[in-house]
Amino acid sequence: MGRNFQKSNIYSIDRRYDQHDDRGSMDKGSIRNRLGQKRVGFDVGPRGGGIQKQRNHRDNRDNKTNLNNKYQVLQDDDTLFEDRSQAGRSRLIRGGRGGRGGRGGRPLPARPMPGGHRNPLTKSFTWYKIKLRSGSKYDKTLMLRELLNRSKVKFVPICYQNLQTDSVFYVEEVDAAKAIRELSNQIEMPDGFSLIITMEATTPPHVPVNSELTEKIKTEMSRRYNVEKKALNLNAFHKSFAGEEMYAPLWRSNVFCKVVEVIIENIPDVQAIDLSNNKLLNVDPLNADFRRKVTDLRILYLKENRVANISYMEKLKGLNLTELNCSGNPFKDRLGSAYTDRIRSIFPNLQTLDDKPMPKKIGFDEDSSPTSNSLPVTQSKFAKSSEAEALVLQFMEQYFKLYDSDNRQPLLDAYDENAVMSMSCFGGRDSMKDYIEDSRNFLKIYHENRKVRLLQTGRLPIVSFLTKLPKSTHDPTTFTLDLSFTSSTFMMFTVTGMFKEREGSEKRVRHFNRCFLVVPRGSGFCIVNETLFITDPTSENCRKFQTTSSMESLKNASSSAQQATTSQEVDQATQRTLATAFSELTGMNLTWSAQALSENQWNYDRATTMFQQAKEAGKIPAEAFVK
Amino acid sequence: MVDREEEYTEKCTRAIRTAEQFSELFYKKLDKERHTIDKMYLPTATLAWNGNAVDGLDNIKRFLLDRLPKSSHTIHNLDSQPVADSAVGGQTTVLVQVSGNVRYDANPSVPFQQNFLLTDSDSKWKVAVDNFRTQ
Repeated sequence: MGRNFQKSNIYSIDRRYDQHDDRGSMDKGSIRNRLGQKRVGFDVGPRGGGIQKQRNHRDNRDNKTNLNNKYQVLQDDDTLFEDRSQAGRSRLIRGGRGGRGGRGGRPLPARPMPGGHRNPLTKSFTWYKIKLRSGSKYDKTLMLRELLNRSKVKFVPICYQNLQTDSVFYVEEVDAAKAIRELSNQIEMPDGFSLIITMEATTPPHVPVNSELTEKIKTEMSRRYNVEKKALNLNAFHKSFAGEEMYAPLWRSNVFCKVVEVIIENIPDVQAIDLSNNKLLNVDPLNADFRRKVTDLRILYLKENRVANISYMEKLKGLNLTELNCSGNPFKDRLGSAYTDRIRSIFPNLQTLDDKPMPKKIGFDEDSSPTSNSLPVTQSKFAKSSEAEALVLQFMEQYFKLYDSDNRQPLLDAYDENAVMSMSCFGGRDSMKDYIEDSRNFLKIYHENRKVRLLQTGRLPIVSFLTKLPKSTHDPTTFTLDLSFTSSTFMMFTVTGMFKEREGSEKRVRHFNRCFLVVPRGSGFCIVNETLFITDPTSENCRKFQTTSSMESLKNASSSAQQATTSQEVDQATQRTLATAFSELTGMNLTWSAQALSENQWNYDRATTMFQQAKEAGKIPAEAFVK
Repeated sequence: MVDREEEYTEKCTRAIRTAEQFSELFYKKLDKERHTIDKMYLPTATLAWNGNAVDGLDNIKRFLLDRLPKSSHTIHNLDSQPVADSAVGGQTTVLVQVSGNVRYDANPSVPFQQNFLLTDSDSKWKVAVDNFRTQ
């Protein structure tokens, strides 16, 4: 009797709280918002964890007294939100002060909440864990039958298992979870006690994707695949596994990734995929690899998921979709009127969005600025003229050979008597300690005198300055060359690349940018102006650095100025003439000469350079000269 | 000899000042007023953008307005020198070296270095050569 009294009391309180809760449940967002606390063991699943422990602690309370029962019920409600701070709220209610929206009177939370009420983790809790207190001592079939019979909402118990003394299973929908929880204390067990049921919002059970589950997934996928239409229906994929031992929700990235793997391996020509109703927070497993291999995918349905931000959709850029459906995702409402344009910018070829044809894009005339996707491709070499290029390459080879040697004195010959040269560097004080003293950076120097003084004038001071700089080994494969000005009186070219400091404990690798202005002298030329800039390399730079290499790749790089000529067809007669001339020049027989020319797209100059290099390297066999 | 030294210092100082004024103006225009930047180039100028050759003012204008996305430059290094007379035959010229970071559109910023040859054209400094390289 007492118990009945308690029951009805509890029931009515429960009811009130249900109503209270329902207010929140209308708008799923706020239930989650009320979940304030960071959990101890976040994703517990069947394994139990921190939350479990808390429960057991509370379980020790005497559940016979009305008061305690009230408290317990309230706590059960609170465990819907699993929020310690809510304990304050329950105290309030006991005092009858009315907890509805009583935020103002709420005592300080037991633990600090990260960033206020909203715990972003709560958005991930879209499954519901039902716990049957002390359930392991009862008959599973009996309990489940009772629940299924009495519950107002039909459900399928997922991943049922016994955890210590309790029994635990999951349900997919909140209505089912609540309906089951309503039955708490309603069902009398064989031993006379009534079954206590609690629920909490949680992540879906985590099931390892072993070979057995993989097979099940594959089977289910092939069942859902329409071969004629090349359409894969993954709508509410988890529902196909409900009630089975192994559960495979796409929400779990291990499952989703496995599904993607199966698609790539078995149906890479799929054209339509329906991912609706999977409670998905993102579609990250549709990664770059997927996009590269599944190129026929045109239709994607993502209805009724939980994608919260359009940035998750932006990760799909590259998927050439013509039809997309994202209705029922939080990000859509969040964007409001900007939704269509944002989607259009990610999927420019989209024709149908959310079952409606895409509206025509009308922009503004000034909105024709290029995007960074269309940046011109970097060329490693540019030369105003190919003859000059050959000379400059030769010069560079000699210059860097000397520069990299132990004695830089011979560089004197490279400089004009009255040449000027300056060096500047950029980097950390420690990293640049060998250079910073003489770094001529106007933005860092305040005294005009110093700015002037730091300009090295005259070839002797210049070379003695260069000798002071750390010994180096340059890597010509990293070199770029821009020979942008040639005239009868001077040439200007910029070389960039990397070098390694040969000595010292750290042997740092550096990036440099060197600009030379040279004037003719004798049969060659010499430097009149030079700027040298040194900085630390980016990680991308470092990856390309090699310790031993030659200028071959730079010489062979097609210069943008030469590209026009290389694409020209050279007719037979011209070929013969060139071959003859080349043969006379090099001493090679006609066959080899023709081959050498042909390998260089009949570019005589380049073939000459290549020949010289190969000859020096001893790469040309004797038979080439046999006439 | 003193005269020569003075002359040299003067040239040097002028090169410094030119570079400072030029770099400030150039990058401001490049980032915010790109449609006016053509005024800073000689009609016969050459621009080498990461090895892509752009010859002549018309092409440069078209390149900067149509091919290059919206930019945002941050300069952290500036150096310059007066160019030897022997090279330019008395035509006052300055070699400028700039280094910094550039961001195109919303992309992450990348380090770059740029070399300019500035020359006196009717009492106005104009770019004759522009070598641009991202690192």
